[in-house]
Amino acid sequence: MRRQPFRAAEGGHLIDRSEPLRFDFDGHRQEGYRGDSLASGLLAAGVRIVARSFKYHRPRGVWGFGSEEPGAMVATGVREEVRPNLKATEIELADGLMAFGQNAWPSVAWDLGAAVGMAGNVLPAGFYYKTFMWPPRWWLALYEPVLRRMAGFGPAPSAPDGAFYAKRRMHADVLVAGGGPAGVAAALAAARAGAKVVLADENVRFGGGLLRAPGEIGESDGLAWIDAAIGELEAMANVRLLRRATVTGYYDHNLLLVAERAGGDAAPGTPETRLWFVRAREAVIAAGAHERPLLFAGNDRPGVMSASAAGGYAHAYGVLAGQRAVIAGNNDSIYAVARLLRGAGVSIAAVADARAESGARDLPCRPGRTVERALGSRRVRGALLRRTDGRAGDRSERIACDLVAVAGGWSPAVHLHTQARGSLSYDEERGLVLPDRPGGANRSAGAAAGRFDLDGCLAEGWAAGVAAAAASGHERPAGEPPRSPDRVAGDAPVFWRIGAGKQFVDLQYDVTAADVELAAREGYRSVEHVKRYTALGMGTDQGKTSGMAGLVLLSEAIGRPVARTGTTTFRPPYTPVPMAAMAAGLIGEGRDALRRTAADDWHEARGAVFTAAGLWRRPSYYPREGMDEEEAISAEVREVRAGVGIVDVGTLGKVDVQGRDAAAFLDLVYANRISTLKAGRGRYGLMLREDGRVFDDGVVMRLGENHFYLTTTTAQHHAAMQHMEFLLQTVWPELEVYATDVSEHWFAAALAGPGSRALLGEVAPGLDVSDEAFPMMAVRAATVAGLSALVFRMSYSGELSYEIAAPADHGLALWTRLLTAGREHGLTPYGTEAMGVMRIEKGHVTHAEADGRTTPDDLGLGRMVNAGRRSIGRRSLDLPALCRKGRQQLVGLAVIDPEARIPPGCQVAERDDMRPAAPLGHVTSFCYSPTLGRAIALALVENGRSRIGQTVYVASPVTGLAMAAEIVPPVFYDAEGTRLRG
Amino acid sequence: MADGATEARRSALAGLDLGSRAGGAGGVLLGEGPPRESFALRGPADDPAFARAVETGLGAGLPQQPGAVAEIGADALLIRLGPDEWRLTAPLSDDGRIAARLASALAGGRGALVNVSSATTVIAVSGAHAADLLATGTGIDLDPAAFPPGRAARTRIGNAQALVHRKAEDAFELHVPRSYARSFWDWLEARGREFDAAVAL
Repeated sequence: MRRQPFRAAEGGHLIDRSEPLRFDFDGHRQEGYRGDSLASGLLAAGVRIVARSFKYHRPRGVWGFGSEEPGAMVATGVREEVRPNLKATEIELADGLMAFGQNAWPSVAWDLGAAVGMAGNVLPAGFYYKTFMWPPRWWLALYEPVLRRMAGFGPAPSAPDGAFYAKRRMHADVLVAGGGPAGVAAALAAARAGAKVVLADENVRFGGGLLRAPGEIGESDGLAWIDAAIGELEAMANVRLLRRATVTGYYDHNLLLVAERAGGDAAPGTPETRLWFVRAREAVIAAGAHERPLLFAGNDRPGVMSASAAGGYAHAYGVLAGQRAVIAGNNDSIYAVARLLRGAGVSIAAVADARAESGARDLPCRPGRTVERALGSRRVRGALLRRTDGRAGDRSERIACDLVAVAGGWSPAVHLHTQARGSLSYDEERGLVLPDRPGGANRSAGAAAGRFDLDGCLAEGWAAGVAAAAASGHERPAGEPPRSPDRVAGDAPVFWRIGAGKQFVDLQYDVTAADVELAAREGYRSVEHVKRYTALGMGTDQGKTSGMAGLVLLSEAIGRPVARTGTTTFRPPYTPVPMAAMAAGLIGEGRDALRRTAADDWHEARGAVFTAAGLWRRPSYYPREGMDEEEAISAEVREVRAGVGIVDVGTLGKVDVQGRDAAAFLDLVYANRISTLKAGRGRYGLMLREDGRVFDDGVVMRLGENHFYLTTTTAQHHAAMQHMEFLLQTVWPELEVYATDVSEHWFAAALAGPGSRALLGEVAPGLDVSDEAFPMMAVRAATVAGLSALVFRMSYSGELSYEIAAPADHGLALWTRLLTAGREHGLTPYGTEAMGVMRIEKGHVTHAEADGRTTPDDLGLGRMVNAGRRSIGRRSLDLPALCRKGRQQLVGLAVIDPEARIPPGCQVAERDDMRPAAPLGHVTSFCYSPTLGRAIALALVENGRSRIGQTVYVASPVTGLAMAAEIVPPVFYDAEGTRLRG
Repeated sequence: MADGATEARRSALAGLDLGSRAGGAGGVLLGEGPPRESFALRGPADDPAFARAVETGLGAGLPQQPGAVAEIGADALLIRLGPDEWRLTAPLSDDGRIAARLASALAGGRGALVNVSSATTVIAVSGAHAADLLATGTGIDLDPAAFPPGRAARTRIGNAQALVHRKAEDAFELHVPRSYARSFWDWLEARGREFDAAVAL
């Protein structure tokens, strides 16, 4: 047998006959040509069954021509890298392509699941909802897994998608969606006017409807005119043409999403799919229209297809969708299709025009007739024709054929118009849902606006291009719109069905006319509810071909005008967008920001275990040979308390505050007074929110009369910066204060421990480190380890401690020089875990305690707030709710059993029996304290300060653990602070 | 500057050892820009005395329009970041001289000048597809008509915030916060594969 028995001897403007391609379908080797789609290749090879349907496993063939295809669902690739749920009409044939029809086992030709189809009559709409309800627990265990296997789409790939996907953003004056005659005319007009234009079309070649059927523009062939126009556009610097690119979404502020199947080019580095985010001042929607089906028994059989598609396969690919055709429809397009097919070599058995008057002498016409039933089971073998006026005594005419081409009129693609929140109107006479008022800066043109004649499309497109250019600030372009002798309106009366039997509305989800009527009988009135109940239009085609039929059927069934029934909401995407394309840049390398301190390379080389602190990574601890995590952390703590340690505090937020009113401003921002600080001295500062809760804390240092340097916590750095900027810009714009974020400029390391003074004195020989010359909370500019630095004497660990800050470019040098100098001092690097242990031992709060609900008094910091002074949040502290008795207060918990360890998420309870009861409070921070030799915690406990000395239980309802603990003051270690003095 | 400071300087990208990976020609060249010193200039744009002081100190007018950049002699720039904020940046070899001139002109008046030289890492992106690479991760319009050479904008690109300075139609300098520089470089390289990006010599 010939390799391509259904390929015409000549013709096909999309294919290159000099380049044959081999491909596999369902394990059979086939042949096509460069430029073929998988659908045209399969049709040329005589493969009629391409997939099986979703519910009944009925054979499905190719119905459409492009993205509207409802039936020919395939998967490509093999096993773990399979790509499911693709439309055969959209896949470009490539040498070695492997494709499989979906929903079938072992193959589409012999599918065991088809037995379901024979039981079809017992599977009406809502069958699943009604049948698989009881007992409820069977749903997960039994019904759902079985139904999933039977119904559903292609297999999911198990391996990561190795292909490359990309995204790009673009700004344009005018985005034209659709490159048919209207879109190309619009792009031409706008581009000639000087607008920056993007023209996107979903096909491999611009031309829209002219790809499927010849037309005349000006004096020449329509496609030749399109090619010339595209050539002109391509040469213009202000135009970008996107082929294989579907405008899939229309979002707020004229942001349009374009999915470009860029992989078709196969140039190196080209992504499989590229998503374009186009911010367009104006959009022209020239998305065309979709041909509607006719409803008759067996209208889902392979061999029944859209008439324009059948013509299109002949015209674009030189492929005959059958040898002997019956063409049936309700509009003039059937005659052109018939002549096109005849010219390509298809024998025309009959042309059935549902209208009584129409006819053509050169064709075997059957005016006033339509298809009542398609004959054949696995594929069409014939058709029964019948009068449409229902005159009595009429007998059906039986005609042998292997192709039934149906033309039910056109549905404008109003999707983008409605995504932009444009309104729709229903033209009763023409049976068209049309764009009404646009919802964004856009206009619809051509078939998308209900203009089906070529001349009208060109005129509307041109006018839309002119208007879009004008609206984006450009002059009127030179020249006149192109003209075409084709001025036949092509309107079709609303006509849908005849006869009885299984008439399919939605080929992908197996929704029949009877299903829609059943839904109406069961009380469904809203088109949205019917969609969800029957699944009509819920397939990957989103009802492009079936939606109008379903709408009319429902309206008839409930006796309501179509205009009042309305359409379902069209949501993005217009056509499916690969998940991998959406994920591009959001997964894998370079996805997340990771902030590193200047000493990060050292920590990594040292083998530090890192922990995340916001976007930062910080050394959690430095593992030690032969020690587990707790032992290593405890060793770091002991060595700091006994000697000297160093910790990277480069992640703290740092703010430079200057200006005449700097001190006054900080007095307002902090709950405690700052203005009384002397230059060269610092103070712990507490920031409140307006509602009185603790917002952030840090150290404020006065470098000069009008110059401060303050730190924030790592976590609240951005929020604190924003808070201050907000106050300066909106609340007190009259204050002359400049708060500049210098966090990125400064690296900082803290030396802590009784040995820190000696080490600092050694590395900063010019600095007098004596307690008298450099007291607690003093700041000095000094040269440390040969580097300019600021040194603050302050303590977080409870030990004598200095924080040394240097510009981050010198951060690593500072760090390594300190470590080198510290070798003889036994300097120990420690991480955030040891730092945390030491601050818990000292009862310092962090955001675990200042959790947005606690007041200064709750945290034992009430004395810091100046009662009579104005500052942010001060007045809220007088609210009764914030000063009432019974609030939770910060306390310490000392676990009595030294072997016990506190699990995360513990409550503080009066009993240990885990019975439900309101807890007294909860643990906010916990650790094993090597200094005390037991587990300790900070906790917020109801009336906590009055409970000191009581025994309570630290309980973890999740793990079932409870342990006795004594409530103690939150400072576990050196409460007198003698160690701070060194 | 204190002793030993020069050899102490280490770029945030030093760990990547870009020098050993440089070479090859691609659609985009990525590289670390020459080291720069930077200062945050704050002050009231609408105060003529402040504007005069800046002009006295720098010999160039205060840029007032969004994205405007004033060039001050040899590769030193004053970039407008906001209504009361500018970035003064100059080659490291300037050694603070320009800033010192500006500081003395500002002395006694309004405004503030803060050294933020270590706060940013400058990454140079150039080549025919430089704008395309940036457009994979930023929403600003990079069309030369909207964002011509000589302009700057602060925006988010990929996983970081950056100050984008367009030096020529196909050459950009991105000033990214130092702590983000490494992961931003990773992002640039990952997205740069589409354009056959190479590390500049």
